[in-house]
Amino acid sequence: MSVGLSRRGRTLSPNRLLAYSAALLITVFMLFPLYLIAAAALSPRSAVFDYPRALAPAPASLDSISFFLSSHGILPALGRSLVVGLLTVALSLALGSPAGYAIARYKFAGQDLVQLLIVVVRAFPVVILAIPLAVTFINWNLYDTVVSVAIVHTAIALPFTVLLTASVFLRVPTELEEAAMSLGSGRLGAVWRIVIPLSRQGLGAAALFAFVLSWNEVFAAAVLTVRNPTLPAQVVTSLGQSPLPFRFAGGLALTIPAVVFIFFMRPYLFSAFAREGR
Amino acid sequence: MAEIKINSITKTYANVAAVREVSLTIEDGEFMVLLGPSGCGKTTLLRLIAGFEVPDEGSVSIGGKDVTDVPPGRRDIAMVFQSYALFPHLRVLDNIAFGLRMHKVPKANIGPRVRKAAEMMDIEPFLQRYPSQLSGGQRQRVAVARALVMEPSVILMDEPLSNLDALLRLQMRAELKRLLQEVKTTTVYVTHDQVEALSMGDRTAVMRDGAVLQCAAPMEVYDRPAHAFVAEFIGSPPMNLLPGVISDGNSVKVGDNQFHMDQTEGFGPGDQVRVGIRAENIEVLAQPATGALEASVRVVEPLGSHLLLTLALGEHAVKAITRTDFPARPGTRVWVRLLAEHLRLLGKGKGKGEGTEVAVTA
Amino acid sequence: MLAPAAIFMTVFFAWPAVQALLIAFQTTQGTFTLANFQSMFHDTDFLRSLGNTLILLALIIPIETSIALGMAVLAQSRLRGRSVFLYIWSIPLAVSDLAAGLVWLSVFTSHGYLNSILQDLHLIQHPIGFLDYNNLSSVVAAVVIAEVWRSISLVMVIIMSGIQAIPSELGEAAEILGASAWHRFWRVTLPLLKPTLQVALILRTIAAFQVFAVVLALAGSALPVLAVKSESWVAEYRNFQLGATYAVMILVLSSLSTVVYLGLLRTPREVFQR
Repeated sequence: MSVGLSRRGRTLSPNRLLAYSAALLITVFMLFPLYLIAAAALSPRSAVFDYPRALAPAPASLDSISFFLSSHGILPALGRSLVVGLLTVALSLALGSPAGYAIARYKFAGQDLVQLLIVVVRAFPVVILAIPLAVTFINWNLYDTVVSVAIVHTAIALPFTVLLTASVFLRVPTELEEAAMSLGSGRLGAVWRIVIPLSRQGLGAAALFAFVLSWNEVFAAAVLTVRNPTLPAQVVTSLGQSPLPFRFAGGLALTIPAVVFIFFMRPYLFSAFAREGR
Repeated sequence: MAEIKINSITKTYANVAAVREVSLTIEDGEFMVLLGPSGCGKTTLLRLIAGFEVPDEGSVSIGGKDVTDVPPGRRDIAMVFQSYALFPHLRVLDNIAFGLRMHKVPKANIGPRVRKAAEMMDIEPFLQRYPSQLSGGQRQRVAVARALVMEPSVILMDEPLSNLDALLRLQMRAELKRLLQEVKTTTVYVTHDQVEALSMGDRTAVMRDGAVLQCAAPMEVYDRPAHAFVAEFIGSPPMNLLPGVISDGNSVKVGDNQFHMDQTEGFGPGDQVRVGIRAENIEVLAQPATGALEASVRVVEPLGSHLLLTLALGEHAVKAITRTDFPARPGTRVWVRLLAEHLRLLGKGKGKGEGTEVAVTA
Repeated sequence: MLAPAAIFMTVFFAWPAVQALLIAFQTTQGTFTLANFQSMFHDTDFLRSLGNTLILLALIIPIETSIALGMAVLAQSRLRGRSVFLYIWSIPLAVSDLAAGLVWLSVFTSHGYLNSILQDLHLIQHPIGFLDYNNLSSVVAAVVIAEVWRSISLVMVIIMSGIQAIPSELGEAAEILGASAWHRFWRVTLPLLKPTLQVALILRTIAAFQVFAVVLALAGSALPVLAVKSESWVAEYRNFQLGATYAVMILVLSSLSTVVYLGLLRTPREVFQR
């Protein structure tokens, strides 16, 4: 829908003015809290009970951040979050991209069913998985390990990975693969030499996507770990006892990757988040 | 019904002029076809008339009223889209009634008007269906009915037949022509299909690179192209263009052959020109004859009603049409007579009458 | 090629889903029982957590859906700088619920930015305890704002992709037939968005039944909700049965809501066939 077309774009019609004001208002609502958490986290610890708080920390200080990072268990938890994230990326790409390739390339019976299942899985309440898996992992001696968390995160990420890689592979024309095969390459060779190099960016996006999903996940990580939590699990379980500067610094530490991630994911946002919307 | 006046209109996208300084008057009740290859600006021109695009320069008036700043919904026009643009969530009936409701036509009048439009388009049995339950041809009819029911001053059509299969297109072409003659509404019709342009319009405006090269009755455009591009774009096969030089007074020299013309249309002795002749105006003979030039057959294409020959005439390739029983095979020697009264002179080089370079070696 | 993913999802998704039901309906010895549900219903926090979850959902879903619709329309229009708007509006897509809760904690905590701004403007004399357990309505408001802020991007992106799938000629056809921008939105865009809205509503409602870290970060135990109860029965009391029973409760509510949406937003099948 176009909002108020003005002749030759020189004048600002009332409709257009209204649209810009609304857009600006929303932008402030989206951005201002991000500024505030940064301001809060960059205030010195001593400023936390200043009241009224200054909207700009003067001078900015890394005091709260370093306090947060040196708190007991935070650095190991950060390390575990990285490991879980990378394991999730490896598992979900290893399992998901062949499935994505199959959906993109082959017509098979039940294809619609597979697509439907992916959406159903996507909509399924994840809360329900964590507890039975905790029981299973206790039996398998995997409870409270990075592997167990990575497995649950993979289960959550896999439907996305399949949909995303399918849409990435669809962008590589079948003819290119067939051309490679007509020139003597096998199908696997064609995938390796032609499809993967051409999809590098998209696969990178799928990897990044799985990583952020894992980096952000709280519930399962909190249920599946006791002494070896990931960063969000560590933060959420110590919320009750931790001082405000710790929480603000934690909030910023968890938010920064999101801002960066969305910046790099812009071209893929639609295929990642909105496939079911069509 | 209304006259459309387009006054020196220009529309630029990202520094590329889609339409440049086009002036065109479409008479009241006239059927005007905008014809040209894709990217020539014909659709942009139509959208400027519709009001979807706002011109950078110039103005549009409909029925004597300047509508340059009037939004599409208040220009008293209707449009048939290439994709039909039927609302998928509304039944045929509600699709046709949509515009009437938007214009707050009294309820009591809507029913009869929709029925009348549906009757004209022969779609009464489908009024309760959704667009997805109709065939392509039926959707096309609904789209036309939705435009007609508004009884607009002007109907705009953007390649309305291009999504139909060949047979249906042929049928709809004749039907649309009859219908629009009946309602006598001013019509602007965009197409890239020169057969549609020739068969339907009162006048055809041939466009290229955002400019109208020639605007005239279809047969005039076909027979007396004002521009080498028009000569080649219209007609199948395109007009043959041979390089020539104006010699003394009323004659032109092609190769070693001198042809006498009634007039040389603004060219003077020594001017380099292109000499155009339609394939059907070349007489192909099996025997030598006076005034006939020797040529050899390169390609023979039987087209059912006639044979299309590609001939090597000196160093030039020439298309000619002959009867199906003409004894031609590749390599056969034939003699051709260019009918002098059908020779057309077209300029060469830059400026008016410029043309694209033709491949003249077979 | 599908097999590895399918096997993995069976073992770590389908099977635990079934197991959750088994755990909820079984004693620790493995015999069938409804005792877990009885103890859940008798849990002092059960009705409160159910009520809070439903209240949050009833506020969050309509607010975010209507604003996201407006955002999607704005982002599709020919505003200058829309790619910048779109980037900023998408950032919360990747912000976790925990981070969102902490972000808004800096705003709503008693010595936080909201009170500071109000005080600077001399609108209040003393900081207000927005997140105090006896200020339940402001606690709910804070959680709603934080959750809307976090999830509105997702709804916007889903709706935008739905709008993009509507051919632009339909809007133009309506425009030339005399429909105003308002009419075009209500008569053309919105009806054609119904399936998209259905998907967005189902996804978001299911997610809202699981609202967890936002609540923990902002309200702690002041505002019990179902997912928090489920986690705390496992993490704090090692009671897997009751934790699973709460999770099954969430599953039941999610399924019910999905059925309701599917029924409410039904479109005639013919409309979206090609």
